[in-house]
Amino acid sequence: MKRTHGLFTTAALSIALAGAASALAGERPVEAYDFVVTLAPVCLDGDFPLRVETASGALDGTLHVTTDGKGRLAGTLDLAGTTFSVSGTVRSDASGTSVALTARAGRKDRLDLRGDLAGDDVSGAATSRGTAVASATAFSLDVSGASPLVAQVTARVESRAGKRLGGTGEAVVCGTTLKLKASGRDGSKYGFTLRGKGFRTSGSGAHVLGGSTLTFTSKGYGATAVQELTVDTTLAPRNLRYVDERPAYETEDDVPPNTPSVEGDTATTWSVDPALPDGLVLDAASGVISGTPLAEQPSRRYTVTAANVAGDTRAQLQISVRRNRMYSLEQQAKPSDEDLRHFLRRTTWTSNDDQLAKLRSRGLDKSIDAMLDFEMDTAWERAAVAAEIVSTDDPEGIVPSDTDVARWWQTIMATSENPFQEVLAFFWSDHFAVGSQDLERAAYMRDYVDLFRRDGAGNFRDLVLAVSRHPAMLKYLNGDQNRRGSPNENFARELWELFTLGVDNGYTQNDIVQSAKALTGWRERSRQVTNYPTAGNSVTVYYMEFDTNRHDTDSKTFLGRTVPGQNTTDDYDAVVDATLELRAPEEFVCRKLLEQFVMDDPPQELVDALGAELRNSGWELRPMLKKLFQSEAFFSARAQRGFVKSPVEYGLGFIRTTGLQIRSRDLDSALSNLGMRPTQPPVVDGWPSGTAWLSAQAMVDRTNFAYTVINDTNRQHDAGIDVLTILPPPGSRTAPEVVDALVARLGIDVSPAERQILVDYLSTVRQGNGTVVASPLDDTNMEDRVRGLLYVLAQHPTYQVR
Amino acid sequence: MCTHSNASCGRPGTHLPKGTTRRDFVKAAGLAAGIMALGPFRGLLPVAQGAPLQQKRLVVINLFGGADTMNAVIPHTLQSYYDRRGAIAIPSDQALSLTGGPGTSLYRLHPRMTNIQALWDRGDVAFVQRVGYPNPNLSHFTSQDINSLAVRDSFPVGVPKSGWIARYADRNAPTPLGAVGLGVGRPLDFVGGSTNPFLVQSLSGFRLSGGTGQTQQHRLNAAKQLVASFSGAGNTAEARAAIDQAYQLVDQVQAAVSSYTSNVSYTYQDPDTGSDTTPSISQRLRDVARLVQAGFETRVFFTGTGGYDTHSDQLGQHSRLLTQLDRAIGAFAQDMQDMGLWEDTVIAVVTEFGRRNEVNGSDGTDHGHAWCELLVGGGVRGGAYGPELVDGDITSGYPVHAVDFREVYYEILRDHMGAGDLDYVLPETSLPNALGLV
Repeated sequence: MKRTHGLFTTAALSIALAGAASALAGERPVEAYDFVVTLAPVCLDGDFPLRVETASGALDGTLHVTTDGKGRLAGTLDLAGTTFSVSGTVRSDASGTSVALTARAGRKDRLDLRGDLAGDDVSGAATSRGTAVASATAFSLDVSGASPLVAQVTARVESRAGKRLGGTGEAVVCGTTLKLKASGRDGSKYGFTLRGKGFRTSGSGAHVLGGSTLTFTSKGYGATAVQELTVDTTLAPRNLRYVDERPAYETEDDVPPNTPSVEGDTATTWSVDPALPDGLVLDAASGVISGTPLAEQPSRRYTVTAANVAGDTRAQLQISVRRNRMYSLEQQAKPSDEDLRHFLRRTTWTSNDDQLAKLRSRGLDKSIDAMLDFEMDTAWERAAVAAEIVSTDDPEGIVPSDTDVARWWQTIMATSENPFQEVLAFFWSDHFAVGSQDLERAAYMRDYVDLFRRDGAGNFRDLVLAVSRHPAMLKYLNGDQNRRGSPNENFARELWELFTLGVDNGYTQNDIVQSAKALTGWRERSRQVTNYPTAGNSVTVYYMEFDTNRHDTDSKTFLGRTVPGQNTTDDYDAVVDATLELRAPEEFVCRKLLEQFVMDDPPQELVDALGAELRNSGWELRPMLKKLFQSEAFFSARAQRGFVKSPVEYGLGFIRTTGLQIRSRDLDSALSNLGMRPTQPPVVDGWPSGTAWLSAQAMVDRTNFAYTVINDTNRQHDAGIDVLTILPPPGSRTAPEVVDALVARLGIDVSPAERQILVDYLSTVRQGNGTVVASPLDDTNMEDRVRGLLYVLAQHPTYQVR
Repeated sequence: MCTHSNASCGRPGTHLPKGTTRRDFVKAAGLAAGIMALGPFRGLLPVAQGAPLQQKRLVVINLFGGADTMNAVIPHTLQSYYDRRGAIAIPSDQALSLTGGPGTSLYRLHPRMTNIQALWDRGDVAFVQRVGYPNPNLSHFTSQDINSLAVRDSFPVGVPKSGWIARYADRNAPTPLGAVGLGVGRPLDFVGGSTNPFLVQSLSGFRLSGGTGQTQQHRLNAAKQLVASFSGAGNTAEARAAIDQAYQLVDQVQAAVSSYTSNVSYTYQDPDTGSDTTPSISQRLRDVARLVQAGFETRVFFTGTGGYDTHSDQLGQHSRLLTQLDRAIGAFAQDMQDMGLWEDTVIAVVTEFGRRNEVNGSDGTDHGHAWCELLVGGGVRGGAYGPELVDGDITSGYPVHAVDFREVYYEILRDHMGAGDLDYVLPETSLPNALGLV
């Protein structure tokens, strides 16, 4: 060690510290100190060259000496062929270091040396008696080889009984390890004393976490030192907590990182006992628990220990891992508010606080019953017919146009008090796709939509049969051209491929040939409605009828069943029943329902379980759907926010959520621009899904849709639509309050930074020169800014998913 | 009732023919994704280089409604033509001769096709007689869909049910603007691939609504900040990327519109009314020129114009339509020449079917089948291709197809565009004997 001459030395042994300055008053956790006190410039412990000046010349010798805790020196001196025994003292303080030595040999010989340290030498006066050294006058002790006299102090100090501090420590001084005891006080003045045999150091000063500069007065080994020392303190961690102390995990789901917090200082090592369930990991450096549990684990207690140099702290975690809920049709226990919002997003296109409150008070079970109870001839439906279907040219609504029908259904979708009725009807209209653009029979389409609106939650067998014989389907897939001797296999194929079984799943080309023959016989007819709408005018109305002459009377064998030939009725029942009885259509349709309402790529086990519900209920859809919407799978993490909104889900959701209805012609044109006009699926297997709806073009279209809605101010005013009704009551309409209310209403997740952007938007205005200046939100600008805020929120990425 | 008076008539979505081809669109077994998907967002940003890229381009102009190409490229040497066309036949002395170029032809052009005639004289025009496909279908929708899919029977394993431009883009131009549709809605040609196509009605319409006022800018800036500050995973991250791309693409496209400069005017004086006009086909080809000049990477443009379903009063309608087509192509050709890109350009003028030979009772023509396909461009080898029309072609109901339209595409894609994976793009087509069109 480099020898240090200055008496006042700052020692700072750093220990990383990242604690919060929270423990300055009151109870203090264990605090670790590690510092060096420099007691004196030299430690007289070893062999040192000594020269003694005498009247007859200089004598050189060697002093072998040790220093005890009181500064007493002991040793020997070899000088002038004599070995002296040596005793003496060394004293150091602020004024310097002085040494007094007496060397004796025998009874007569004695040498007294007294000197002070200067430079590398202790030098001073020497006197002698006896013969060994005669007439000594002066001496010089070369201490250049000495180390400074330091005390390496480590200690732990902790609060005992309020402000009294206690603790223990060690000091290593001159190679000797001393035990220390600590005592002191905490408070506005912080200080403690460490005492041990021959050594004592006492520090006090303002305590600051991360490095306190304390004045230490130290005594020992004949030295007295006063030093300002910056001592880095490390607090022991305490009060370990985890974000989630009783986590209930599910297999196969990534767990959200379970992050610990400690008071005191950062823990440097982390451990857990017993080992965490398979797949979970405790990060040894941060204590974060993460991973993907692989196996089930009944609830069990785990002890996490967080430690640093000053001490440790423990926390108990109660962890359980159950099988992933995505496999389970069991009823979800106690759905949370977030679960209920998820339910609303999936079943009504929207989720807002009003709906949530209603759902909470009614309960999920009763709400689902009501949702599955499809009413016809409702007020909203009559209004839509009056507005869109009926006109002076068509007072009975028997010859609507494609556009009439599209707008009629969209109006119902936008205004219905049971949106699930339309959500489900829309699902079926996608599944049993018929595009009115290819029909040229809009009246068929209107009735086709009503089939799903009325019976969408009815009986699946009945629904397939109704679809099969429906004029819209007969015309769309050429069932009306399928006749004896001239079969058209189009519908026969799609019935299995698209509607019940899936492609190449349990049927052969020969099955199709045979079933197509069974499906023969329907044809389109028309009749004139005369004197309509006024005398002398007439319109043509189309319908389908079964014509026995066109029905193939051979016996047909398909799917292993033979249907005997006959010429009285069609064989549609026989074809559908063979499909339902001899194959497993429940799998195909339930998978599709799950892919609409629950999750992409549902596990086979869930598909099978739901399929069994459907089959076992005699193909009744309602109980199966109720089971689905109450199931653990429906509420599982896999299911939440897993879908990209389709244009209909986005567009009608935005209108219903904001209450900002627009004219049906504008809605129709906006949805057409988005590429999803209800009643007009583009192709026989319906619309695209999922990320197909995420493109730059689609996002521009969506943004413009939102603009159309928020910019229709005048017409909305005329219609009595007031956007302010979706705000909190007057008096609670500060910018942050408005942001929070609308973010919740639209079901968006925003970070604090995003929230601030929105608050700033509401609280500023952009001037003519493009500069943005503060401008408080008030009644005069409220409507415009709220509309703007809705437009902004509609572009949020989380608003694009459901 | 739809009268096919415009390109997007009755086609808010895409259509599939009824009958057997519907099932071509069934999902392939085991594929969960909808095959009609417009393609997932790929996260590729468009690259507008600011200067035109030196690359080969194909511009397809579709004449919706079924164009009467026989009155555009006229077999004026055949008496049968005059016999059957009667009042709507184009008199030989009014038609424009095709004898001034490197090649000469016995056919003559409709009198309004003066620009095409001039391009013929440069050797930049080819036409192919009797183009069609097997098993003609005389329905607009069905025939259009056959043209869009370019697959007549069934899709082979490994080829998704998709339009030919979608398949081309997937294999040869898989970037956001690799293939562009202008003013044609969402045609089947672009559907079913995995590359997201850029389909707009017009470039100027591809913008965020709301104008440039301060209030709207304030809103948009807030939205952009919001999206920029968002970080999420999974589908919300994809949504963020798509929105972000939308903002950028709008800016880039609008920059392309505003920075476009040209000495060529797409506006002209209508010879019939005397007033200045810029018909939609001119606007659309100008949009093509804007994207090209801005340096977008587009290889295939698909655009078109409607009104060709001329069941009645064909002479006047046709005269107007062919004037519009001719002027638009003339302006675009000059524009490309000025940019030095004409040699890299091929324009293919297609239609869903040709028309009947005989004039109908209302001075129009009804649906037929084989048509004459026009190719224009510096990359075209001028001349007449396909079998020469003879009396027998005219005395029948309509000309029967001799050249498959997909062979024409095949030749352009292979020999002009240098495209790969043609077994995938045009799986039913091979080209044992190239015509040497390009």
